[in-house]
Amino acid sequence: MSSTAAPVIEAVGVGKTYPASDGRAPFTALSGIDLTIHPGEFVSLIGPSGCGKTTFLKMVDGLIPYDEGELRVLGKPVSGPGPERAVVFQNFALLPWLTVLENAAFGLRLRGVGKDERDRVARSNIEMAGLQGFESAYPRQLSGGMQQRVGLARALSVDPDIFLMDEPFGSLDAQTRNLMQSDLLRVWHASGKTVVFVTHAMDEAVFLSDRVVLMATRPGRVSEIIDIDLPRPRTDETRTEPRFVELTSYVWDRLREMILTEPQKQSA
Amino acid sequence: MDPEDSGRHARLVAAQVQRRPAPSRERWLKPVLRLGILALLIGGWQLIGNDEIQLAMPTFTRTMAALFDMLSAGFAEDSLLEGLVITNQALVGGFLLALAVSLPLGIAMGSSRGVANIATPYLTVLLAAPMIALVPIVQVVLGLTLAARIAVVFLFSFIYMTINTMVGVQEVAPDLKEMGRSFGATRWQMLRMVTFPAAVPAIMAGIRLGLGRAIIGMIIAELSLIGAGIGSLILEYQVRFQPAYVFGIVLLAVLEGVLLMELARRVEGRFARWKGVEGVE
Amino acid sequence: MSSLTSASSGRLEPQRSVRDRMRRRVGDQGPLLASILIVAASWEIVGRTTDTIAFPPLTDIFAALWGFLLDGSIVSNLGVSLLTLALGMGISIAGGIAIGALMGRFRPVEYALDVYINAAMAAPMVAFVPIFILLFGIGYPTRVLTVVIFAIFPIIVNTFAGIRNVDRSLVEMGRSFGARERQLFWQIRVPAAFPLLLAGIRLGTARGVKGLINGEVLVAVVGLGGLVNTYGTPFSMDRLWAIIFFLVALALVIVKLVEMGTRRVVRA
Repeated sequence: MSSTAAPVIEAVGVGKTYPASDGRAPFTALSGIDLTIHPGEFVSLIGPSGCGKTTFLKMVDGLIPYDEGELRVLGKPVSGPGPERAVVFQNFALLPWLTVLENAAFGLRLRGVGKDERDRVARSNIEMAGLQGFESAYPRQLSGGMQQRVGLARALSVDPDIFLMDEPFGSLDAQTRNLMQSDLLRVWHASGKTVVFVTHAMDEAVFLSDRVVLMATRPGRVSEIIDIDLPRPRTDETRTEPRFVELTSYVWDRLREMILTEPQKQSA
Repeated sequence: MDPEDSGRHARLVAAQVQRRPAPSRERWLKPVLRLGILALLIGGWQLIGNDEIQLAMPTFTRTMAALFDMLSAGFAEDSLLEGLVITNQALVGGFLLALAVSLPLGIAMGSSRGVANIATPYLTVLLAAPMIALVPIVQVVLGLTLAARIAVVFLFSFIYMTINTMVGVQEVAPDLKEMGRSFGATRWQMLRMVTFPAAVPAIMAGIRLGLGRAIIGMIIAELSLIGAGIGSLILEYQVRFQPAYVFGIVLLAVLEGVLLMELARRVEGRFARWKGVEGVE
Repeated sequence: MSSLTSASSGRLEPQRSVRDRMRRRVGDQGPLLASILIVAASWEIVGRTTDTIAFPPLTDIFAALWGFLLDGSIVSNLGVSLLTLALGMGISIAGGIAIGALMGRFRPVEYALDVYINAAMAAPMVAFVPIFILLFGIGYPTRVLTVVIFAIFPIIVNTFAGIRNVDRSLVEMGRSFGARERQLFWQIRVPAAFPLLLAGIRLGTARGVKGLINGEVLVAVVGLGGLVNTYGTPFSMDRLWAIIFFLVALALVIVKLVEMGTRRVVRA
């Protein structure tokens, strides 16, 4: 990707500290995050629990305010959720009383798009997400993987510039997860959009990303940014290539090092 | 919804499905046992009853005869059916009034943590308060009128509906609200499209409970305010020492309560379908 | 609180009190105290400045309450009421647990009783009080029976539901270790049912207190409920309010005591 184009997401020294309360000491969730993400990039955030990767993602969406540094999306400081960003949630966050079609069209409905138009858009994105035929099903009738396809279709339907994905496949079984990863890459290639992807699975981060951002805990911070030079398009064969294995084990070594060097802080 | 939880749910359903076809014995055992108990109850009642002594329990047959006698008068003046209609005016008025107050109040209380913090202790007190003790005060203010009986029904039912609405709104899954916020929902959109529909099952449960309390309020109003309906009929037959008639009236009132509650349960089930396992196919 | 019951499907669902669901919700006490002061002050002002007979000034009410406590009229009636409650709750707890446990242990018992117990949960039991008066007069049997019909059904339902709805994996574990039905009942189902059973006792007690007062008011002359009738005239509203305040406090104290008692048992 061209690094001369204006960045989509630009974080300079971003930090977040929760004030002391209920007798707990103040807690610095994130500190000094510098990160620049370019148009069309696929960037993963990975790190041990408590490193603030999900917090950072929600800050980019504007759900959680930051109190240090600067965070800009498309050149403008983040002050709340906006139409150019859409989140795919870890627990799917589907409305159980709506059908697949109505869930996929939900973001458009909030924006006041008419029923015919939003259904048309949602239908094409349901197809894109690989769920055609399930438009009138309810979320509870679908498997976890299919529910997340609805979450993906909902995000696609509002046509954002940036997809923010919060461990979207974290609760799926291994086979479903592989399938979803390949499908996500297909959708990403077709759309050319920017993706920020939070995960705790090293192979997932390596398989999907252009760059993997390795985060450390206490305070949550960027520890290392790893370029993933695997050729695209990536397929199931990619997973068996020596370079893939090498990169994955590099990430694993770094993570293990990180956890082992801070054992005294691994409390509760 | 927690995916792990839904997985466990699915297993549970599967286990039930596996278990279900097994005993064909169950199919006839259930009705036989149920009817058996019913026969036992009626038979026992018939044996214990004694129609010779005026103050003793009337037999089942005599009670049924008394009920039939009262029902055969139709809706004539001072008849049981007319009394039941009069009694139910308080139920309808009081319950609708409670509904109109409880839903907005509960939603407002559930939407604001500050309001909930202040209101919860009051609600706890009202919940524990034996409302029947307030009946004399209602009587002093409103006399022995329909308005007084409506007020009693209202007092009995509004608290449960308010609390359930409040708790329902408070317990809406935070992920759903976060999702709404992320997709740019306004406050009003959030209430209309996320919070309220998510709280509907809890609100419907509250309405059903509130109806149950309203029925109790209706009967207490009749008994202690000497209502113009079944309350005065019961009193009349009590002083005339016609226990079979008192039994008949009470049975009819209880039957009405049970049927209304069953109806409420079914209506609630329709509204809450997305929440339960019934929809799993 | 409860999802009630379903007569048609023949499934009895456990009951939880509203109190159980509202717990943990009271936070900062400052605004609450302020609101209590405002409510009390406005009551006093309304009582002093208007001629509403129904709302005498708060100070008059507390003076009446103080008088009742000094002259012993509350204490002597309290004894009658508490004895009634104790008898009624004793029968309800023993009978409720026995019936619920039998239903949980033996399916035929469940089939025989479930519809009737569901109906009783939904029925306006207070309607039976005139019948009890007719049959037993206004003595202890009528009032104790009133407590029982109010209190016993939630205890039955919760005991049954606790025993029957034990986590399947625990039962399967027991079976795989070769436990017989009888051993499963005593060593897995009964202990696992305990929390729900205690919730049933809490709910039953709250309802039993209401049954007690209902019974006493309707039989008109005895106990604390009898005092409600004695002072339920336009000329003694301060004394009526004093009784009501005392009843509410009593109800709260009893429920709180049972709550503390049952929670201690769970922890042990």
